[in-house]
Amino acid sequence: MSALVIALAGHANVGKTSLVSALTRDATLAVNEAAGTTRSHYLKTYALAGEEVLAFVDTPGFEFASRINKWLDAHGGEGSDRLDGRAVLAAFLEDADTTARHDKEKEALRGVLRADVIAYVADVVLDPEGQVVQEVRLLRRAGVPMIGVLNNLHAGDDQSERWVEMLRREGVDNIVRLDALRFPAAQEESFFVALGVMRPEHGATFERIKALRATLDEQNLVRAAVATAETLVDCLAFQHVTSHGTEEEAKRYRSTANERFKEMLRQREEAGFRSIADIYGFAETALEGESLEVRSWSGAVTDDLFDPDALRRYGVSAGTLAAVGALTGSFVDVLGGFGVGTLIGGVSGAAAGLWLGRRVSTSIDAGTLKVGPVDAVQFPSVLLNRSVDCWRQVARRSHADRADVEVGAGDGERLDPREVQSLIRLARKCSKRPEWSGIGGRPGDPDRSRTVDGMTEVVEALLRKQLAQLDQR
Amino acid sequence: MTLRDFVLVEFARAWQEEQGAARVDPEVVGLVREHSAFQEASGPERLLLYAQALLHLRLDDGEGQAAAQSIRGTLSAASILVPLLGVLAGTAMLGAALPPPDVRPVSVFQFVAEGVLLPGVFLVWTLLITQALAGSVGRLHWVAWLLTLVRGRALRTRVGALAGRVLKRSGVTGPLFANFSHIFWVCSLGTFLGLGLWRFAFTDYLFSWSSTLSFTGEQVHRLFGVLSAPVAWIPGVDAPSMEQVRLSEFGSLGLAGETGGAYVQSTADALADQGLRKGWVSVLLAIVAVWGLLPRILAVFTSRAAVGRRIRRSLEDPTSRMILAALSPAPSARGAEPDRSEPHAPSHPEPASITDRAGRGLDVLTFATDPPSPAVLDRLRLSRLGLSGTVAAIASDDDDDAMDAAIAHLGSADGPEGAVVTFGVEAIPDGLKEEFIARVVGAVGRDAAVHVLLTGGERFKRSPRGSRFAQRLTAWRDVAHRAGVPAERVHSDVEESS
Repeated sequence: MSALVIALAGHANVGKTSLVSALTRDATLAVNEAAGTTRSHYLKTYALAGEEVLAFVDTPGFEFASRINKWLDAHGGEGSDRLDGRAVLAAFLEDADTTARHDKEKEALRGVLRADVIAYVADVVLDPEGQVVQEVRLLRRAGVPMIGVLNNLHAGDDQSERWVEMLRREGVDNIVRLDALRFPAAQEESFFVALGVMRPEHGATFERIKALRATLDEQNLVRAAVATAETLVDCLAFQHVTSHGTEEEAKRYRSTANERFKEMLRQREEAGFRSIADIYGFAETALEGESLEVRSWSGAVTDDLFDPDALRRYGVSAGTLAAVGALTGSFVDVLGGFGVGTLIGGVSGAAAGLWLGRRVSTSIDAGTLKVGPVDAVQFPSVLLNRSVDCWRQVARRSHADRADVEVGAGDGERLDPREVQSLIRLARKCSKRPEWSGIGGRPGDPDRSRTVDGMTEVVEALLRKQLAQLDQR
Repeated sequence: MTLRDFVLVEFARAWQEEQGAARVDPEVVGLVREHSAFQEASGPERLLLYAQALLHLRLDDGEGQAAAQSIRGTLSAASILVPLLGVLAGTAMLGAALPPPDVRPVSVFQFVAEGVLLPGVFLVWTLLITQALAGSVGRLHWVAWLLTLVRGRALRTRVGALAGRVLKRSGVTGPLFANFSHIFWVCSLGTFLGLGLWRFAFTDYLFSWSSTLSFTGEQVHRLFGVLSAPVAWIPGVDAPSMEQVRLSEFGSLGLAGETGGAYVQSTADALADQGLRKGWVSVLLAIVAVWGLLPRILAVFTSRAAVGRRIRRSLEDPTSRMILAALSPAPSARGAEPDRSEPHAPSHPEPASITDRAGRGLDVLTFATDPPSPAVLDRLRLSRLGLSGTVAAIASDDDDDAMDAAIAHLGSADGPEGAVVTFGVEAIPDGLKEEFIARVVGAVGRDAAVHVLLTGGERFKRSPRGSRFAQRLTAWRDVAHRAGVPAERVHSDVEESS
C-alpha cells in the first residue's frame, strides 16, 4: 500500500512546519516567528521498518485566500459550464497573471492537490473569522477529506470552541487538538485515530506506528541510561597526571592542572548531554545551530559543574547521606554493634555531606603531579542528577520546540538512600581505576563494562521514576 | 525674520519630521488662527506663530522646549562670546607684536604678519570651506551642537540630537559659521589697530626689519611699496623711502658691539635716524586696516546677506507653503475634488497632492482590531503627532472593499495627511498586512507620515507565549519596513522590556 499523504495547510505562521517537525521527530526544520518561512511545499516521509507509510506535505501559508476565492468564483463558469472545484483550482494554478502575487498560495495548493487528506492547521489564538474562513472554503474546493487541527493550545487566549464552531459550519467535522510545542502522546494518538476513521484502509498503519513508538521510547530510555553511565564512569575515574622535573615545578603547575582537570570533566559532561539529545533525535547539527542550544555547563557560573550551588542543588542531602551512613553502620550492628555502628555511620554520613563534593584530590610525588579523582560521595550524584535533568528536557520534548534546554532546575525524583549507596560503591571502584576513564583514551577493560552495567541499573531506575513523574504531568 | 526666530521655525519643522507628525498640525492651525496677531502677520510671521504654537502644544517643557530655547540661547551667547574672544585675541596679538620699547624695536615684518598675513590665511580657509566646499559645510552642524553643550545645557533624547541638525537642514550653517569667523576677526583686528594706536600715541617705539635670509634693503622697499600702494592716498600715510628702509635694518648679532643687537647703519644725525625709524607707524597701521580689516568687514556683510538668503529660501519650501496654505482662510488653497466621473482604480489610486491634504492631520485606521484608547495614544505620545480625530475601521481582514475604500479615502483630497495604522499584536504579520501598509504609504505619499501601532501587547506578554513578544515585534517591524514604514515608527502599546 502506498504511503498516506497528509497535507498540512493553513494561514501563514500558524505552526504547520512545527507540526511536521513534531510528527516526524525532526528538529531541523526551519521554524520562525516571521510569517512566510516555508516558501515552497515539500514532502516529509515517515518510514516504518523501511517502508514509507506516511508522507506529510508541508505547505506555505495562505495570506490572500479571500482574493483567490474571488478569482475562482469569477472564473468558475456559469450553469452547465461550471467547473468543478479541482478544475477551477487547476485553472488558477495555470493562470500566469496571478502568479507574481499569489506564488506562495499556488505552491500551497499544488501541495494540497497531491494529498489524500488535508489537515487544516488553526492557531487557536487567532479569531476564527476573515481570511481563515476563506482558507477553509478555498481548501474545500480541492475535494480532499479535511481534518481540522487545533494548534497552539498552550499559548493562552484559547478560542478553540469558536474554531470548532466555525470549522463545523464550513463542513469540517473531524477536528482534533494537537499542540505542536507540547505534543502529548495522547493528542498525537487521537490525530492518528481520526485519520484512521477518515482513511480506514490505513488503520493498521497507525496501530503499527503506535506500537513502534512505544518500543522506541523504551529503547531510548535504556540508551540514555547507558550514555549517562558511560559519562559517570569516565568522569569519576579520570585523573590528570603530569610529570615535572622537580617538586617545585609541579607545585607551580598545580593550579593550572587543577583548572585543566575541571575543564576536561566539563567537556566530557557536555558530550554526555549531547549524546542524550542525539538519542532523542535532536541531532548534533541542531545542537550547534540556533534551533536547540543545550547550555548551562559552560560560561554561566551558577550552572557550572564545579559551582557550590550545583553541589547544593544536585548533590546528596545531608539527611540522605546520614541515612546511607546509618545503612552502612547497621551491618556492623548486625555483627554485634548494638546500634553504635548505625549511630556512628549516620553522624559521619551527615558530616561527610557537609564538606565532601568540593574537593578534587591533588598529590605530588617526585615531580609527578596527579589531579583527581573527584570525591566519590557527592560528585556522582551531581553528575548523575545533571544528566538526568538534561534527559528530562528532551525525553518528552516536542521536536518543534526551539527553546533552549536549560539544565539547572534541579527538581524531579532523586535517588533513595539504597541507590545512593550503590552509586557511591560504584564510584569508589571507578576512583581507583583511572584507566577506565575514556577521557583522552579508549578504555576496554571487562571490569569497566561490568561497572558501567551496574551504573546503568542505577541510572535506569532513576529515569523510570522520573518518566512516571513526567507522564503524570 | 531674525536668525533666532528662524531657528525656532526650523526646530519645530525638524521635530515634526523626526516624530513622523503631520507637517501641518490641524490643532496648531486652529490655535494660530485664534491668535490676536494672526490677521496682520506676514507670511514669515505666521510661520513663526505656527512654530511657537506647535512647540507650546506638542512638546514637553523638559524636552523639546528646552532644546529649542537652548539653541536660541546658544546663538545669543555666540553673538556675545565671539566678539569678546576677538577682542582678547587682538590684544594678545598686539602684545606679541610690540616688545617693550627699551628692549628692542618693533619688527615691521611681525606687525604685518599678525595684522595681515594671519587673518588673510584664515580668511582663505573660511572662504574655502564655506564657499568652495559648500557641499560639505552642512557637517558643521556639529558646531551648533557643540555650542549647546558649551552653554551647559546638555540636550537629551532624539529631540536633543535635533538641535545639531536644525541649522544643517536649512544650509544656514556655512554662512553662519563664516559670519562668526568674520566678526571674530573684525573685532580682533579692530582691537589690534585701536589698542596699537593708543600704545603708539603714548609710548616711544622704534621700528626695524631684519632677516636671517639675505633680503636686501631694495627688496624690502619694493615689498612695502606694493603693500602701501592702496593706502598711499590717505593723508599722512607715506610709503617708506629707500633711506628709511636702509636705516631701519637691525642686526641681532651685536655688530656695533651692542648687547642684543643694533641698527646696522646710522648716519651722523641721530635725530634724523630716529625720525625715519619711527616713521613706519602710520603706514603699518594703514596697511593692517586696508589689507586685514577691510576685507573682513565686507565679508561680515556678505555672509550676513547669505544667511538671510538661506533663511528666505528655507521659508519658501513646500512645507512652509503647506503651512501657509493651511493657515490661509481662503478655501481655494485646498485641492479640487477628484473627478468622480473617472473610473476608480481602488488598488492603485493616484494620491492627491500632499499640499492639498495639509492641515488634515493623521487618521487612525484600525485593521481587524479595536481602536486604541485615547490613553494609549497619549502614553505612546502618538496624540501629539497631529491626529485628525478620525478613526476609520476595517472590520475584517477579508473585507477587500473596506480596504479599497480606506485607501481611496487616504489618497483623496479630503484625506488626511498621514495615518496611524493599528493592528493587534497577536495578529500574524503576514503578506496581507504588509501589502495593506504599503498601500497606505502609497496612498498618502512617501513623504507623508505613516505609523504602525500594535495593540494588545500587555495580554500577549502575559500569555504563555509572552517570551516571544520581542520576536513578534521584530517580525512586525520587518513587515512594516518592507512596506516603507521605518522601524522606529512601529509602536507597541507596552514597553518591550517590561
